[in-house]
Amino acid sequence: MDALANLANGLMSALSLEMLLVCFLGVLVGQITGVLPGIGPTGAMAILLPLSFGMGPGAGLIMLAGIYYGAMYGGSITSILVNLPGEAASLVTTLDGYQMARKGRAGAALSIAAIGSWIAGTLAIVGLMFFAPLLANAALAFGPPEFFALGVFGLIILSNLTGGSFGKSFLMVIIGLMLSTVGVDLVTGEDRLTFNVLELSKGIDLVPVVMGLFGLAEIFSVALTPYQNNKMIKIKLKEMYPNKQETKRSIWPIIRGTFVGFPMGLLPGPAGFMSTLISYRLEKRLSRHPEEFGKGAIEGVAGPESANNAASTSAMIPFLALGFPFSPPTALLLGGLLIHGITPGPMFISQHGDLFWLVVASMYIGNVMLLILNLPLVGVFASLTKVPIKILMPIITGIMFIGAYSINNSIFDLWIMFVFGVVGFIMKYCDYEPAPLVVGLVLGQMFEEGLRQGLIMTEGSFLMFFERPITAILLGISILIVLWNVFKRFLPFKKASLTDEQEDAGIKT
Amino acid sequence: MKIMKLKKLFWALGLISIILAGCNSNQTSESTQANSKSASTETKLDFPKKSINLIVPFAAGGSTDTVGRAIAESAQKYIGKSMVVVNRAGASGTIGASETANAAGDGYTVGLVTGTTLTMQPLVKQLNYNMDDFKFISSVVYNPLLLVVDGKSKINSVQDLINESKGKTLKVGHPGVGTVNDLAHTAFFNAAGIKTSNVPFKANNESIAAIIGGHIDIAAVHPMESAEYIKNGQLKVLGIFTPERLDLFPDVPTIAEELEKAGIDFEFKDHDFSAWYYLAVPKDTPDEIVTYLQENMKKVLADPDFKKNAETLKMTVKAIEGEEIKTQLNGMKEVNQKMIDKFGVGKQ
Repeated sequence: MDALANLANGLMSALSLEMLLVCFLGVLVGQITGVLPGIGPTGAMAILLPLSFGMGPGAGLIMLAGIYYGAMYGGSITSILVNLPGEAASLVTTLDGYQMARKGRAGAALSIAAIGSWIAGTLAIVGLMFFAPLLANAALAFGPPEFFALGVFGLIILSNLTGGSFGKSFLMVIIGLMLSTVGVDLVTGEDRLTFNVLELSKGIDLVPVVMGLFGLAEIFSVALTPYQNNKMIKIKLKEMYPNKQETKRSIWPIIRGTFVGFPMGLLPGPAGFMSTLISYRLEKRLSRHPEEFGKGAIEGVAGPESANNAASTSAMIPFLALGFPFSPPTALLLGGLLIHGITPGPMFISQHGDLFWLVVASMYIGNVMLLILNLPLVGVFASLTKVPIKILMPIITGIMFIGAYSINNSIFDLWIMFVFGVVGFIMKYCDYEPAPLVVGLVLGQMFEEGLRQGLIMTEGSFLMFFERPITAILLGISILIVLWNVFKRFLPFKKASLTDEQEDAGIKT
Repeated sequence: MKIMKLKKLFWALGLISIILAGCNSNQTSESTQANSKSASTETKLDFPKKSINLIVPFAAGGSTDTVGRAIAESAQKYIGKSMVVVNRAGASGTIGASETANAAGDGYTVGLVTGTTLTMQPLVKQLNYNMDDFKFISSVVYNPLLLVVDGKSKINSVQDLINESKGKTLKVGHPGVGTVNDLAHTAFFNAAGIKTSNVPFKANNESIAAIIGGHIDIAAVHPMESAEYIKNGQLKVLGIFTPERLDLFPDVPTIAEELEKAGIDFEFKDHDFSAWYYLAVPKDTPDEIVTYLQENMKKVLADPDFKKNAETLKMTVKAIEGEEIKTQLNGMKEVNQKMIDKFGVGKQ
């Protein structure tokens, strides 16, 4: 009950006018950066960081955290309406969200995304509140071999995310893996595949690639289709919100998404993005009508949108309870606290309890603000689809370029985005899915780093990986999935007896 | 009516995006204009007329970035125009350093560069800049390195470490070839005669997490990243890589002291392995602008707010100027070259 008393105290101070204002400012900026394609929370937080110097540590942290989780709400909007992910973590939302919009269910998709985000965000704060120190220590058990195993597991499960041709998906994963090797070699410090381009030595960033493959490619193909005037679907008010069936179908995906996202957020790497992929995969497997996925299944919006919110909230746990910023946005939160002489770490909750509970309380409030901000605006956003494409697309293109530039202030990133835009456009016409390429790019880094760090740790003995329980379990499951898919055709029994995990492999034989 | 509303919405969206972008982007087009002006010698210095970009060669949120933002924050008071932090991360700071060296020499681009990007990276990598491509305004702060082990380990001193690691290979958290940590590790472990294998990590706080999690044994890390864990007993500090003990950590012995106790004379005992930060401008920047910046940076570094910020970051403010910087950098370069020749640093 201690926690509840502390929370009550936190709520008291979080409800003061100043705190409410900074919280609102934070979530509003977050919402906007989420909506604008390419401009992610990291950029917005970096811009507002100096503003937080002048505030107290509490107010500063509330504002910066608000931007972070607020962005997870906004990201779905352009994904659903125009098939352009507002930020990387909303990429999978384009798969079904956009199809829903084309069927006139944009309002429903937007509402479900907002409600799912709210439920997941709130549940994750409860988890943060009660289990922060405990979970933080569990995250420490993840060393390099564990990350390697996680990378292998992810590659096997996620390689055929969208369920197209296996051969094509696998090819894309491999190209993604190859792209992830560009940049400075972690061990020797030598440049790999950079062709003496200094900019390439930092590797290929995720955001310009995603913006190019999904965003620019979409814009190119829209530009090529013959111009059709006002073929846009009219949206009636009662179609603005989800109907009974859609609501019912969304409940479990939202809850499952929360439970997928929460543990992901505890680990380093692009947790929000990864959690959406896993949630999407899970929903597709569990669904009674998997054929609807990719054609406008509400579960494909509800699950991933909940997962990324749960992940962004639980990412606060290793940060607040251990002081480890596992992602760029939490690194900025750290910067905001350091300047006030407060170092988050193992002592943070006991030494700065008031601050911890203030932030937790503000996150409850911020999530409610975002829900209020989003639901009535569903109609406004949904009517964006009525704007003629010739007006909408140039504006979005401009915003995307600004966004991609703002991450590293680098013109080179714009070139990367452009190249991947052209590549994505060609892939689209040849019927190749870009999502597996992104999976390869992201997991390739985790895979390589974990493997090489791990092998140095064990002095080259791969067998020692299996002496570590988490690694052994993850690798064991991965091996079973592969074996199962190779040998299942020789076995007499049928699909009904497959377990979820084995089905998750999604490898068609 | 609806269309009117939508138009307004778009204007609003557009405006927001312009504001967002404007806050972050540098005004290169303007700077070329200003360049031609400042080139013609003016009698009275008309500088600065607009905001100055401060290139920080590491990602937002890190320790270098926080130093940069603290400088920018205080600089505004004295320069009268704002200083905008531009993060140009990647390749151990060389991307940002290269950008600074190759910017227009009009004073509107100032770079925060580190000692290793100037004196180590050019020795082990082919880069399009070297030390002589800069004019230096001042040094800013230095960020020392502490040698830390897991708080639960039996090792309490360098002597213990040497005894315990006989016949073993220590796993060392290593944030990259040619970093200050790399240099400090090489010098220390060679002097102590300890066998090591370098486990690469992208950042020091990943090394710290791996030490506490029991995945690796030891690493040299900065106080800002490790202070809380040391206070909490999760990390134990064995020594500091500076020639003398620091006011911020009076109880922490220097590595040379500790090695002496173990009967070893540390070859690099007079060398400071800290990460040093300097403010630099491209070499064709007019002297009067450099002098102007120097005068004002002196005030920034003496500013109590800045001092306090640096202290909370566990860094020590130290202003060295002009020729003295060159002497210091040349000293660093000499030591680095020695380590490359002797131990093969940077050539794995």
